[in-house]
Amino acid sequence: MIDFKHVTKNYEPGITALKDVNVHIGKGEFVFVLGHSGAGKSTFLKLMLREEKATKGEVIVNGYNLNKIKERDVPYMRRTLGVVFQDFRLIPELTAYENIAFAMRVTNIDEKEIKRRVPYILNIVGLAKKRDKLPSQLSGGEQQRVALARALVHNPDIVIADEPTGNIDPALSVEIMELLKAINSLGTTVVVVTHEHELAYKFAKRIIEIRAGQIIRDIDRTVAQ
Amino acid sequence: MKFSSFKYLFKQGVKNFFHNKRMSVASVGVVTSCLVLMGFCLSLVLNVNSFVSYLGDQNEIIIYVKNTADETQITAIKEKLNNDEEVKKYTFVTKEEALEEQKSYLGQYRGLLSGYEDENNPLPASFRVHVNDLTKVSQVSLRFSRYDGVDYVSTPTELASVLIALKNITYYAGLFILGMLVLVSMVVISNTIRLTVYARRKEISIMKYVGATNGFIELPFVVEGLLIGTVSAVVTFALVSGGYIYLYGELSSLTAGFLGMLALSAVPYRSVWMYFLGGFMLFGWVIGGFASVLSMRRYLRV
Repeated sequence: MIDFKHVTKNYEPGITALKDVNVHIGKGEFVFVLGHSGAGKSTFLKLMLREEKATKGEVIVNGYNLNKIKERDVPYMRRTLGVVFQDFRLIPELTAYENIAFAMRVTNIDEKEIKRRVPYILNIVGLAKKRDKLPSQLSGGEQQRVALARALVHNPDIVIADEPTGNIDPALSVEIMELLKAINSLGTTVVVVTHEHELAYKFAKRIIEIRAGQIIRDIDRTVAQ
Repeated sequence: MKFSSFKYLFKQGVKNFFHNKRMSVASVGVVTSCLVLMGFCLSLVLNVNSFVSYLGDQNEIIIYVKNTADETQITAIKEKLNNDEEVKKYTFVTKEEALEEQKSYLGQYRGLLSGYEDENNPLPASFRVHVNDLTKVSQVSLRFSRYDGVDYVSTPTELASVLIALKNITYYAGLFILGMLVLVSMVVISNTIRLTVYARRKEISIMKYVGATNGFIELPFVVEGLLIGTVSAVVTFALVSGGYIYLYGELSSLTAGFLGMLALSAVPYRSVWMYFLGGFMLFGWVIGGFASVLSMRRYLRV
């Protein structure tokens, strides 16, 4: 699934964001990558999404070696991932349905499949009745659920969530986490990148903590409990 | 790419064009101005070329045949002229015809030349030759001066070199101006597209994260660029055609002097409109499409 092998990332000479990181995340895991701002979480995320390339070492995601991958293959690698962001990144002019359909249209999926798949996904995230609402007509939690639906629409092997509860109130955060947990229980690997310790310790099966570019803790809580 | 996806992205491009109304109008305005100047250059080059070949047609190489030359030698020269690729056409002027011509120049004083007929005729027979390419005048002239029976060859080399220089200057100046205009148009379209790209950076980032290929992300912007190019080309075609028809009409009414000569050689609209339409469309599309792709590149490097 996800392998970091001796990964170092330098932005400029002297600025090291990650230093000799070794991590393996397997199929079906529910992992929290925890750390304060500036710890190297974002770099970790960017390396997984191939927004950045490792300076040293290898990053392998779903069988793609991200140091060696051809530029033209990057979009196909990304289709095996579902990504959720703190700021939702929904298109304000499009309805919930259209926002999800948009992700399918731009990846060359035909209209028949879109009409079949989008209502199904909206149902999973519990927004079937709000399909025609614009993002501005939805609460923060609902917007994040639309974003999550969009991430799930390609049936990805891994869902990566970057501070998914950062912009929503605590009660709704739990709701989102429960949803991620449900997705995980269907066999999808879920990686949540966050700085919220409390949330991590409440939901995670595994916690990887990063500080100053290095992994200082990797706890498998299924074993610990 | 599936047709439904293509249709969707194409529609997005068209929507962008109308959504950024002000920028689109500004871009069409600037690109049209550039294309109009381009049309002016094109008209100038076409007409100077026509003028030069018109003047070229008025000038001929004259191959004077020796008085001692016999029929076989004259036939041999004729054959060589027939087979020479550079020779457009020629006429043979006999000694008698040359005398008659001189007489006609003298008009009422033609009697002055009486007594020069037959064996007293001092004028040589000649071939008046038009060449295909003015630059080859000296070459052709040199070739024929070496043949048996040829006395000497009179060549309008000075005029030819002036005409060639004129043709070259308009050609290269036209090309230079064209290059500059293409550059300006591209910068303008590229800026418009960059604004659209900036306004839609969120959408682009979403497209990237859900795994849209660069071709999919670029298509709406290329459509927008092509649309700017097309609208500009159509407006320019209308403007330039109107201007050309008007000027051609004005020029045709002149008959005297230099302007009269220009009028004779001017290219009529029916022979140029397809160059205008083709040229403007081609440039509009190339400039529009290329500028969009260029301005997109930076945003796709993630």
